[in-house]
Amino acid sequence: MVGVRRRIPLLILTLALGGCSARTVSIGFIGDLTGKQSELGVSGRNGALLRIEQANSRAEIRGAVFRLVTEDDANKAQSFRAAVDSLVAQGIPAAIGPYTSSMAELASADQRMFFLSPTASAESLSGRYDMLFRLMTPSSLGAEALGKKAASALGAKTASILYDSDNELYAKDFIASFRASFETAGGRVLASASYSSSARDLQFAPILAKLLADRPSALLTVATGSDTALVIRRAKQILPGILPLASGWAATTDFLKFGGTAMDGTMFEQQFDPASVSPAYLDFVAAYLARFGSMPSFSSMYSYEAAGILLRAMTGRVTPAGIKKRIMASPRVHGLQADYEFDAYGDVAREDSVFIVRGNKYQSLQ
Amino acid sequence: MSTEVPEGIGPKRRTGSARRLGIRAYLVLLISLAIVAPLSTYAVLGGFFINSFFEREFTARGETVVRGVAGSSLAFMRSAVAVVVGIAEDERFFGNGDPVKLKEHLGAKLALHPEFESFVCIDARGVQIASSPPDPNDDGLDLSDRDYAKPLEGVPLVSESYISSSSGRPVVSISVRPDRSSLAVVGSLDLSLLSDFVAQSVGPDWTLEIADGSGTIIADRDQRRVQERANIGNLIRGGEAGGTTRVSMGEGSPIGAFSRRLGEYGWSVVASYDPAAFLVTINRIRSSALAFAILAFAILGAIALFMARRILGDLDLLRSGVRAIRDRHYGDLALEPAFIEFRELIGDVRSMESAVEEREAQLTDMVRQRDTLLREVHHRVKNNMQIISSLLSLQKDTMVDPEAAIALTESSSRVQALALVHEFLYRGEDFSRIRLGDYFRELCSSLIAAYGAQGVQLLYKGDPIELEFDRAIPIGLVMNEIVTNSLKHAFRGRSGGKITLTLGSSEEGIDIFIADDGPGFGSGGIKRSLGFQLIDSLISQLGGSMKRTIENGTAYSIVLPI
Repeated sequence: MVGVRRRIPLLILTLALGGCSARTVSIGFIGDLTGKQSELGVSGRNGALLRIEQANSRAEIRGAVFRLVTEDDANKAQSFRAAVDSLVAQGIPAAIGPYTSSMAELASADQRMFFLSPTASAESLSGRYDMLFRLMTPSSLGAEALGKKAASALGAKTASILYDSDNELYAKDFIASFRASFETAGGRVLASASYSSSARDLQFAPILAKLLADRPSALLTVATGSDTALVIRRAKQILPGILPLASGWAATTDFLKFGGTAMDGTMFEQQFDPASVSPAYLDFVAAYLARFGSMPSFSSMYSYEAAGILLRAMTGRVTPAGIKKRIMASPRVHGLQADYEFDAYGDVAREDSVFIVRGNKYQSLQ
Repeated sequence: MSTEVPEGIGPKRRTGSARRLGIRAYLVLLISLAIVAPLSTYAVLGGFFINSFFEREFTARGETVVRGVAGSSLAFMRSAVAVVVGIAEDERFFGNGDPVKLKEHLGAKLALHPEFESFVCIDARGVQIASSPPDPNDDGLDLSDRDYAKPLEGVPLVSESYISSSSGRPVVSISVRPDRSSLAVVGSLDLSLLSDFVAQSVGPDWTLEIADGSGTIIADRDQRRVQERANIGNLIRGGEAGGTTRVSMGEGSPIGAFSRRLGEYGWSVVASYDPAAFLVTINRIRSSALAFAILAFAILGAIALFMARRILGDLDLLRSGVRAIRDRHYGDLALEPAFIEFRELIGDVRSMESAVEEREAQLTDMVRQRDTLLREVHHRVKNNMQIISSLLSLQKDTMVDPEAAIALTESSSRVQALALVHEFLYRGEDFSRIRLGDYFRELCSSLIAAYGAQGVQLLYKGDPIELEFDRAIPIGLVMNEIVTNSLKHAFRGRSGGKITLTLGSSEEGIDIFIADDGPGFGSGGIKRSLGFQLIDSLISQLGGSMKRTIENGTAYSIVLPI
């Protein structure tokens, strides 16, 4: 009888609340979620999901419940277009993503949706008046800093370069900037090679044997975290004492997980500061760790910020152009580590720093 | 005299202030209840019992599912670990540590166990010395900093799930280093088989997932969620190993889920009922309940309307039947009411009708007998009075004294007047009243004849007025005296004359006007004869008034109160 009495108010409440259900707002997500190179997309998806879950649990936007609709682009053009088609068909006007610059190039040419890419940072995507906004500043500045640091401070005279052609747009921009600054600082690039991370039976040993034949003092790898870890491990075996250099693309949890202590001494450029003591960032790290049982990557943090931007811009019925207009109405964003501002082209300016891995951790070289 | 009515006889009266409602009001109430009752039933069933039922059903099934899948998953993993242990403890191949033989041995084992993606062998330094299939990216590398390369002797180590660098699929590594052995065997278990196992474990309505310690899904019917490394860490935090926990599916989810932790590997099994399917089932039941409620409403409403029409129809029949009895149309109560109760009531009414008809016939017969008797009495009284009148006339003829003869003549006419009243009574329909106009005309005509004054003309004009028997006799005597007086005096010396008689009614009563066209009273005036004394006395007795006028004859205006 007590149970019955308890359930009557619950029933009344349920009936009462049934009449005032919140509107569901769908936010799209497009990223590489499957396969060997999916860390960037998966950790980004987790960051965005965390922000949406927090917004829903805190009822941040009154009368709206958000959900993340994920689409896997497999870092392939065909899959990306299919993902956009799917989201457009569902009436979703905006998406977080894509995550690689190659896919971002496709997004830049697509006017059907508003894209907010957390990680695409190719220089050539800058200054475009399109429907693509990005949360990372072009990596060219970081590449320049890395090249300069390697040549001047660390005394690397020669360097070879290996990059993943599946994200060629980013890789080539990065390499061009690195090469320019490295050579300006007195260094010399001996060789450059590429591979496709999506190729079957990929073997790094023969590629590296050839690439390191000239015994360069440094090896720049522009690839995902897991591939970079394998490359550096193998490179160190072939050429002990080589200075490993890496693009910010590799600075994911997979890098340290697959690389282990063998990654010590690897230098990175990145805009994300893993040692940040910003309260907002520390809260985010704690929440992410509690939710997913692992540390967030830069992709997680930028995706978290991207979700926060979109969920405020997508209240009510909006078009892709309307979302862009809303974001541009107040372009300054309070980031987890620092504030930043969108320019007229939807690009941001962030500080880029050089980090080194020591004791399986990232340390700033500033 | 007062009579005491026995209990149960007479109309029953309600006590208190309760309002009386007609059958129609009750029928309206009944029909309203017919509408409200099934809807209320639907609301209660839909809102409470169905939810309650599903809550219990869902809880029982959820606990059963996670318990069963947890047990099966443990068995699956123990079997996989046993495979790796079996390989690691096979001294025939691991004894000498020859990489070529090791590779062959691992290849042979891999062919036997397709659930494994690869087997590798790691030496005491942590260097990968053999692998199957060949792994050129890691062979020869020092992997001692990887978790799976450092199992304790005799204790199998199961890693967290990760994406295989060779296949891109989620795997877990099972590492075994036998006691006193320098070599460890690492098997990469392809988790897609676990997903297949999960898919076969429960029906399509359930979502069943297995997550590793970080919450990353390692097995799911929807392989896409495994491939995409979906994370349900928010659902599986907390809860004791081996225990089943009810967990929330998050904001907006209509139902919960169940989680059970597998102590050995830190994995969790999460079972949730697919919300869409749950709602479909709920809605199906609610739709059925609603359909049932509507059907019940329709049936109840139809029955209520049917009953209302039949009851009201029966009541109308009954009322018309009772009215027919009231109007003495006996035998017209040919009713066939729908309900037994009304049939019984009609039967009672018919019995009452028979009794009333019989009693009325008896009364009619009694009245008829009384009328006959009364007529006979009046007839005999009239005959007796005529005999008296005749005796007086005979006696008059013997009188020498003219005054005596006149007195007897007058007495005879008076008796005759009385006899005429009785004659009117027994000839009429009503024994208590006579038609006054007819009586006066008959009386005058008989007096004119009696006095041999055939030349006297009676002019009568009047309304049809009836008068009670007991007042008719005095007024008859009055009229007798007046007309007799006119016949005796007004037409003396003339062969003819007129007597005018007018009868009418006014607010004051019955107006009687009677006049003759004689000379009136002479200089001697009115003598106080017996006749005049009778007139005055009888008028007074009747409570009336009389005015006598002598002008071109003698006229009397009499007013009798009604």
